[in-house]
Amino acid sequence: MNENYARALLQQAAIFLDSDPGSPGFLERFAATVGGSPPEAARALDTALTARNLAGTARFAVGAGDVRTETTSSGAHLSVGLLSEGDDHLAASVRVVDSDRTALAGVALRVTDHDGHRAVVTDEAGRASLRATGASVFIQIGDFGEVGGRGEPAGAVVLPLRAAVPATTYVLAAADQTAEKSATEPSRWQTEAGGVQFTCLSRMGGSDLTLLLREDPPEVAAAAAGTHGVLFRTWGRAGSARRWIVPLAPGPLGFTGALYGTDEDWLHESSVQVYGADEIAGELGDPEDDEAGAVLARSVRHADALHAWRAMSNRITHERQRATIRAALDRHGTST
Amino acid sequence: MKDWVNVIEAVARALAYDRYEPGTQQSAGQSMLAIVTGVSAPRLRHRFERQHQPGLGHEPTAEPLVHPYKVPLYLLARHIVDIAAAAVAGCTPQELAGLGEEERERHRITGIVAVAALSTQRPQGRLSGELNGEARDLMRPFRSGKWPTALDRLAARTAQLHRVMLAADHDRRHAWRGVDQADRILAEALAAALVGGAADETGVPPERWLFPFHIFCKLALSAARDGLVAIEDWLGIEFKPPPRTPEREVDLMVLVAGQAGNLHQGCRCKAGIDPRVVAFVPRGPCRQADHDLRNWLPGQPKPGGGGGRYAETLWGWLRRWLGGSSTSRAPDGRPRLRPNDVAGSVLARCWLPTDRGYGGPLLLYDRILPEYCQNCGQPARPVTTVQPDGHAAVGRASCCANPRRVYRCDFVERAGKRVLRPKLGLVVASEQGGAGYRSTQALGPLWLCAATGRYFLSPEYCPDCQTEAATDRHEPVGHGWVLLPLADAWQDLLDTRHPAAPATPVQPAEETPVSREELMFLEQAIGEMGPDYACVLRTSADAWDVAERWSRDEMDQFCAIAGERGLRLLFRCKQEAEALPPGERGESQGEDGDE
Repeated sequence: MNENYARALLQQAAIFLDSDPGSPGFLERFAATVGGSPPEAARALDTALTARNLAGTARFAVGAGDVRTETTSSGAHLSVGLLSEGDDHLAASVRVVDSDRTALAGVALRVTDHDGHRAVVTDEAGRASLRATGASVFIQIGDFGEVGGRGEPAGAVVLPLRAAVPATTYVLAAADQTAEKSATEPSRWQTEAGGVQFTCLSRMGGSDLTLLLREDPPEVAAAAAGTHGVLFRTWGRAGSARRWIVPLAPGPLGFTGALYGTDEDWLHESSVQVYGADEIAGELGDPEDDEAGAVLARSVRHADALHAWRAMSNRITHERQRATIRAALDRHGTST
Repeated sequence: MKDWVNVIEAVARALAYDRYEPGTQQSAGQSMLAIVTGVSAPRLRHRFERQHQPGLGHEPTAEPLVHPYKVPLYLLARHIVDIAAAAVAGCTPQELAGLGEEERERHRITGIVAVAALSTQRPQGRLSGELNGEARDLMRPFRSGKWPTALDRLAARTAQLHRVMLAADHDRRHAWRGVDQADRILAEALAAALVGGAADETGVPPERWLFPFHIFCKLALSAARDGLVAIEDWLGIEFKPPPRTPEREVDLMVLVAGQAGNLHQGCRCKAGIDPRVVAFVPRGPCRQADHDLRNWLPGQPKPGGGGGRYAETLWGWLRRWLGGSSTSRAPDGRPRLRPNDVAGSVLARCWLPTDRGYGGPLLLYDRILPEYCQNCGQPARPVTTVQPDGHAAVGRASCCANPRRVYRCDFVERAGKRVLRPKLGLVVASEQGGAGYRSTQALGPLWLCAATGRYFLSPEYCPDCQTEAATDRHEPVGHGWVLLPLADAWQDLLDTRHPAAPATPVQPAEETPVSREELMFLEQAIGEMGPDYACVLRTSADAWDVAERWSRDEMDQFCAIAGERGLRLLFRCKQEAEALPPGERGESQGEDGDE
């Protein structure tokens, strides 16, 4: 078999595996999409399926100038490097090795940058090179069983929270249907998910996020500060996912909340949910759990509207959550 | 055993109090501790970026910026080692300078190991200067498990490497701006000890020890870059992406980060090599003393009594490992390298055999088919003649009156028997394939006669021993590379197809109908998927009827049982089922349904 043809077939097979929902009729769809003679198709599918299983799942963000090695759910290692080429262009390189550190060929990775998302497939050395735009990229390997907020397949689940280039050298941002330059504040970046508008202002010491509830549900419309809050998940340049809670307070434009001095680049689109105070407590779980406690402490630390947090802590009926929020508020009060 | 919890806590407190930069208000969020335990903070990243902006007195494109690799250097330039050592000794950095040299070095080693241990932690939230509640969380991992033993081992190995590096440090040509030479040597010793696996007992992989790991990677990146340029100069070929571009830099970064994360298991540069690159069974992990960081003793004689010595510096070790053994140059400016230096380097093996999607030339270490004359037994000698149009033409010098060249493996006579010595070498291949070497892959598998060393194409017909059936003496070797331009040896190889064979490559046997045995194989494999899947397959259409309803997970399950063979059979069943007239396929289904 021609080596180049085999490589192309493997690439198609990996991309098919990544985008196919996996429902019954899989082999028929595979044969229709990828083609090839029986031995060629069998080899490509076998290699791609094996690589997919060995690679496992992982997702994280990488900023320009960073190099990182992440361990996936299956113990494989994913090394990613990203370097700026000037303007808002990035050169990226990825290498995937399994838990025995053997290169994995035919692994499809979903890469999201300011231009959208695309799939890249590793070659026989386990490597893939690509170019991207923006200040960071979001990388996903494997299927997390999620569908993008706009009905797009997995991998379209994150939205950029920041402009592609820093405000000092601001140019028209890459076209994205859900994110656009604000008409009134050209240095701000706006995006919308789950009925909440996120406006990001990048500063030297981090970026400030302002949330505005665009479509007030009837139960929110007449609510007071701290009655409702937005729970969402982001990825920053530090890589790992972080959850945030922003209590909402009524304002001139509607219900708003803000986070100050964050380092977040990507918003998990389907994670944006508006909850009542007690629902948030329920979603978070036991604050004694490190992760839940950290979410509360972090969200309070980066909040500006502490009155909304105080109001929310008064409304929460769960004792432990209330105590944790109050402790975080006390710490925040003393440190500021 | 040291009381590492107290040591690390003392160092953490000292680093939390240390100012982010002289002359500014202390900010706990930007303290040395915050930088050690996190990745670079936004303000620090901004500072690094400014250093590389044009017009600020720095060369903007001299070295593309990699934030994580800058952080340890930034900290070393701010004397983090002395601050940590003073915290260990319970004195001020000024008082530390007054201590005896041996005692000071002991505290410095303990201090830098404590800094390395802290760099494995990712505290949630901001660290306050007093480290009240945070210290408890920060110290928690060090109280349990095998941390104290592992840190003792790491400190001991660091001390050992530091001692021999200092003794071997005659002419150190590299320096980091603002970093004392003593701090740099100590940091290199720590990096080598950590990546060499001295702290494996903690269970934390090397890439999570940010401070020493990034020092190692920074040096490795320089060595990889240098090694690659040396190989390019030696070959006179430039590979893609071109030198000094961000694409090459980022590709090398990822390569060295992956390789460095692997080194604590010993060098595995020969493990898992693609058989297409080395046309033999992969030879397992590397056994070369020079490749094993775990046993590296800078400047000391290597075992075996050959007179060789280990590299004196970490950069030297990396340079040998990644890019060949020598960087000296011949008078004409060409680096003094041998093919073995290039082929043995990790960089050549891992970076050059694929084009990374850039369509450039490849450098492979693979099987070469030498040309020998059947009449006189002499190897073919290439000669270059300049054509009237100025182009050089490569031909073969005549060896005897009636040359008849064939592709034949080298061999030596040992105890009256021929021992084959297949030729492995560097092959430069380009997409166009107009020069250099050409692969025999398009001809199908090659066969090698163990008796005569002859390469041929038909497993059942060896032209030398005239065997008309497959024997133990003939082994498949996949493929090889032949010198261009093709000559009479190539035609001879084509003629070694079995006389009955067609001129084109043999069609695989899969074109024949799916046999009863193959259907039984499928039946058995499908049955193993679970009781619900048990079925009777009479025809290939039956098999396809079963498989076409499967989801991806079911297909995955089937693949795990039946492998590639099972998949191949399913695709053949599909082909056959679709070739049947609709009525016949329906009948087959109906029969099954009746039963």
